[in-house]
Amino acid sequence: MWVKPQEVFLKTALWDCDETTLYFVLQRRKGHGKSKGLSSLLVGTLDSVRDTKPAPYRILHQTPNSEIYYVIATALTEQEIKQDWQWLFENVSPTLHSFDTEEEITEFVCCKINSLIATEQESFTEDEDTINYKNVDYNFHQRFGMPKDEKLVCYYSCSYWKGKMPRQGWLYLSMHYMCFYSYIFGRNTTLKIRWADVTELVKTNSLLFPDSITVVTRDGEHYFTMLLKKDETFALMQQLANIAMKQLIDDKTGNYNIDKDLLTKLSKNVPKKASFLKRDLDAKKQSNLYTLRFRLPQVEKLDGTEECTLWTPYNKRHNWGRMYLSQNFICFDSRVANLVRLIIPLRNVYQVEKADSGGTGSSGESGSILITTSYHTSFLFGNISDRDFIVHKISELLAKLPNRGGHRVEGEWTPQPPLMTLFKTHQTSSIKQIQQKKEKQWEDHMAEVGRGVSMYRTTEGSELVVKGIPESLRGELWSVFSGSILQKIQSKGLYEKLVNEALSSKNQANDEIERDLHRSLPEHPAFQNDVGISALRRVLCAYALKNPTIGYCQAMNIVASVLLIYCPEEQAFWLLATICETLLPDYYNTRVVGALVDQGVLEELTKSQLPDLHAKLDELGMMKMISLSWFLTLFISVMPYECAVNVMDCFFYDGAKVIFQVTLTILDVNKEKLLKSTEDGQAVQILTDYLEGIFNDEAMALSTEPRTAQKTIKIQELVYQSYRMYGANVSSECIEHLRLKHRLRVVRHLEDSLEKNTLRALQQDKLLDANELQELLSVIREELFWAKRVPAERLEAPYEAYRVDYAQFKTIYMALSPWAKGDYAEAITARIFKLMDHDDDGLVSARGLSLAIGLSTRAEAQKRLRALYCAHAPPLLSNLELRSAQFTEVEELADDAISFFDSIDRPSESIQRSVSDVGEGQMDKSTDSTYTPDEALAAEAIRVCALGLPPGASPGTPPPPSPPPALPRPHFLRLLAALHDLTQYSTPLYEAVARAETLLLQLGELRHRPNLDREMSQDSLYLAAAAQPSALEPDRNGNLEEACAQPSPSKDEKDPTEDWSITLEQFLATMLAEADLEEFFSKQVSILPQLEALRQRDRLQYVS
Amino acid sequence: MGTREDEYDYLFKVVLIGDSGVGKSSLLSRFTRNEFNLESKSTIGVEFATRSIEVDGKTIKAQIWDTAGQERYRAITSAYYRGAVGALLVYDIAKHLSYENVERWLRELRDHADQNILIMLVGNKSDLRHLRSIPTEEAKAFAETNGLSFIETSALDSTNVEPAFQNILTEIYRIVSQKQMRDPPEGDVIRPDAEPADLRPSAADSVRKQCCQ
Repeated sequence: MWVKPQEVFLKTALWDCDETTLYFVLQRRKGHGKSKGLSSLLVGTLDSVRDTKPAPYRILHQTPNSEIYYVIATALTEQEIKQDWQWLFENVSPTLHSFDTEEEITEFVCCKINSLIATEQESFTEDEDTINYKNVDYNFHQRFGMPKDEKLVCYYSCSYWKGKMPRQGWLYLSMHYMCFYSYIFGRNTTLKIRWADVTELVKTNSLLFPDSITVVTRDGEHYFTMLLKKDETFALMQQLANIAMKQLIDDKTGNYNIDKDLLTKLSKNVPKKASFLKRDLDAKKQSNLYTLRFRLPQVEKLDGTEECTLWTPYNKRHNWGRMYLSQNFICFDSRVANLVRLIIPLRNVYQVEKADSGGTGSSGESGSILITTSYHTSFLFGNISDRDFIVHKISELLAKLPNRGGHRVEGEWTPQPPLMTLFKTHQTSSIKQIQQKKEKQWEDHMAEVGRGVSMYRTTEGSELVVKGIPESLRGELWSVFSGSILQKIQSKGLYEKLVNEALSSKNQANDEIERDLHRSLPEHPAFQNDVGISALRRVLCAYALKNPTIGYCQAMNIVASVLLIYCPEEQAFWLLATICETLLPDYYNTRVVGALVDQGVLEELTKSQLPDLHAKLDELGMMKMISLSWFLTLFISVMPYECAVNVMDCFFYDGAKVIFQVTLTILDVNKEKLLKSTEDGQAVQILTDYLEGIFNDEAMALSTEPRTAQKTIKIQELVYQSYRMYGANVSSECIEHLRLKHRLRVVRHLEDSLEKNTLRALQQDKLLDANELQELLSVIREELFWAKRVPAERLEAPYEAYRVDYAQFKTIYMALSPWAKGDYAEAITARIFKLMDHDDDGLVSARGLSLAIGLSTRAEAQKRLRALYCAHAPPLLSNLELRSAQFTEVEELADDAISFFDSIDRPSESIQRSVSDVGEGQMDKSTDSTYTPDEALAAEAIRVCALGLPPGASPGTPPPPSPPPALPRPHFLRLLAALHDLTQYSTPLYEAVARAETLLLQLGELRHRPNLDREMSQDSLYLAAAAQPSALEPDRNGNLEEACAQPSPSKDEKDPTEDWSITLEQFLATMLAEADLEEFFSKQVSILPQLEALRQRDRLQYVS
Repeated sequence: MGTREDEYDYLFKVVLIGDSGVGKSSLLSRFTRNEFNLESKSTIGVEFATRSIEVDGKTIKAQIWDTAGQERYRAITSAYYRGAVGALLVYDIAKHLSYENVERWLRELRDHADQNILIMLVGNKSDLRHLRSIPTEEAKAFAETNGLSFIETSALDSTNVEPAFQNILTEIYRIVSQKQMRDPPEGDVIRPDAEPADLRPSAADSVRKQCCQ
């Protein structure tokens, strides 16, 4: 037992040394154990006199040049102290040489021991979030500046290697972060890594970092050693990292749902954990393994397990194994792999009874349970140590079963029976015989093991599957083996509902489906006909509606059409759902992530199983893509149809491991040829020829045309070989484990390339430099992250993936833009936001934001002024907004400014506040007030003018180069107010604005006078005096007259100053004539310091 | 190996890209097998076929990679652009959206393919005269401004399919062979006996040089 390090001076008195190393001594109390000399007697006496009974064993820490010793561990038994000694020897000793001074070593050891004690105490005292845990939680939030809703899952004592020095401290694992903190040798070490940034987690054991966990991020590698519970820690880290990745893939709100049921769960011996969340995560993990093992619906939560036996009537034996209980199922799996497996849905359970000494005598002494189903089959479990508890548990679960009386919803369609019953393919008599023989075998088998969900899954059964399921039984057995039947039963009536809804809706998925209906299995007569096509349409559309994160992905059409051949429509639908969600997770989502993950898994398997071939394929650059279509279509698009279905038989029975083992076998068989190939095309051809040559003489080929491909291998042989050669090496657990690992890499890679493409696109605007854009993008990512929004790749352009709402825009813009510094900041921010919000959906892309910032910090003066002008042009700055209560005050402010410019008093507080209120109010209104089509067009034209053309305009649509409308008086006054605000801190600038303003207001007046014609205004003294030819853009010049003549699209009829207006040219010319202003608007402002500050800011204040 | 099929002077890799359902696979089967199926399976991931043609007495083996058109496969298919010296960017003359997306496909090529890849814009399904929604002249003008060659084809009645492939392969051949005349070959012509893996970079190199001068 570790003890708080205490100084002792006498090293040897009263103690014998058993073992000594440079830094540690293991001692035994004299008189204890072996030695029975005089001194031992003395010690015994001393002890009894003092009435203290020190533990007979202890470990001391020492350094060679010090007289001070520290007791660090004591124990009552030799075995116990040896354990501690061993741990020290393995974990602490090897690292001590890295310290420079002995003081450091001592400090390190003491710190380490103290933290060990702390950890141990918790494991004794912790219950659900105890006071101690809450303290740690509080410290965690303070220390790392975490928002309140960031939940700490668990914390561990360990060492983090900073450079060559280990730092003893605490590792904190929370939902989104892993953090490390230590305070040692007077130095702070903090580390904060987001799970979403982790690319790799590895348990390593190298010479340099013995027995450590390595965390790899884009920025580098981090090593953690001396973990007390390394495996537990690692497993938790892996789980958290994967939750983070799942969130990136699924684009759902990233809230982890805590299972409240756990709190009230009737539990037996649930070990106490550091936090409730940790318990919850552990339970989730157990449940995942459970649902995977028995192919249960993923939402199923494991309640508990119990060792017991299952009586199998077909061979009259008791088989040892484990019983699993969850809300909807009782399952059993034998201890001997694949011997027997059983699933009993609770809804089928009719009766549960205690059956003593089960009748066969072999399990007399402990309790048995007999479970009878409503189909009159019964199952006998024996040797249950705590029978009463289990019976109680089962009845509790039965009582909780929801009552689902799903009733059929009528639609204008009837569900399609298996298409093969309608469209019989021609069969030769020999094939008929083979099929009949197979059917007979299965009938016999099922007579023994039962039929349906609760059939015993036995070794004999798996052998029959490998030989190929007879066509007539495929539908039924696929549904049973894959577990999709369970989903179907649990969601009665859902399919009909989905179909009715899906067929009446119009969306992109339905369009894509429509295009592919005739391109799914065109060689089958069922799909040369509307019957098959309609069924396929219903299944695919219903699924797209059921699971919008997937929608429709090409390849699903091919898989679904095969399912429809063998299964009734609804069953085919649920099989498709099982494939998409359980067997091939994330395969068909919007980035085909799952398929990419499995390519990585395959690559790793190939590397370990066929290293030379891996090297070759890698050299040809095709390792990562070789089998995409094989996996995505379950071989249907690459093998003859009648062969691929045999692979599907095993796939539904044994899961995704089957496609891996078949793929490895195909590669293995063709290894010699592939090794000789010189380029990727050749290698692809070798594999294509092989795959097309696979044949099945136990079923009819679909295509009536004579085969051109040379026969290569019988499908049954290939499947059998795949089990023989790779069946054992490629297990489901192994695939699951590798998927976890590769998911991190794939998602990270996708994120990186999205970011890279975004940066490249943003650089084309040539405003901010690469470094700033990079920083800006990470700030945006950070904002999105905390808002629990995931960047989702979109069609339009990479930067559209990162879209911020107004609150986020405001945070970033106000921190970075020099325009958003004054009292008018909110209003300017709001207007710039509107200027950037192209589709008026309240979201601005990363490009919009970078332009907004670039325009105010980098662009030429003219562009900056133009953007400001455009932001104030109607309809962007709406009349509604102008009419708001504070309008008159603002108008007065600007109006008065003519006589105002020599007194530079700050405008009164109340006015300023009202101005920012306008800004807020505007944003609220913008969500519910929409533009008329005309206004929307005008708004878009203004944006184009302010920003230049958006890159990637579709070909053939030449941009209409229309100038922005002239500003009516109220709008112009708003613009002036903004300018005053920008320049109020500098007297010369403020005066310059005022001078320009005077000119402009007078110009506006000139236009207002009806008898003054256009020539006059153009020749006007003011313009001539102000205009610098260079400041006027030639193309704008050409449009000048038109621009002036154009009435404002949304001018207010009631406005008395109807004709009053200022054009962009007038505005630019006047403003740029003031040298001070030109300089001010040309100033290059660096945003890097602000970006840094934005990143480092304390989030506690921002997220409530 | 070593059959007549494999004897060639040049091996060029060409990719077929464009929206889903514009007829990429049909163009490929028309060119390589002279077959046309009104209904064939949608392409998943990438498929592949070869055909050899003669230009100036030289045998050119075209290795044509046909890609899935659906948006979500783009990340996967773009991996196949590597090493391609030519691209047929296909749209459907009766589907305006497929034409609008041409710009996006060009960006894809810019981002993932060799920067000097030769690109031909192909308006397929020219047999659907009554459904045409993109005038030939408009597409031609667009191709010109973007430095692409342009042709309209019909895989169904096989109009212009041969010329489309012939043109792009010949153009690639010209660039490669001119480069060879200027710079004596350093084993960069890929013959069956040579190391074919060298071709792609070298062909791409020559294309780049040609275009820069």
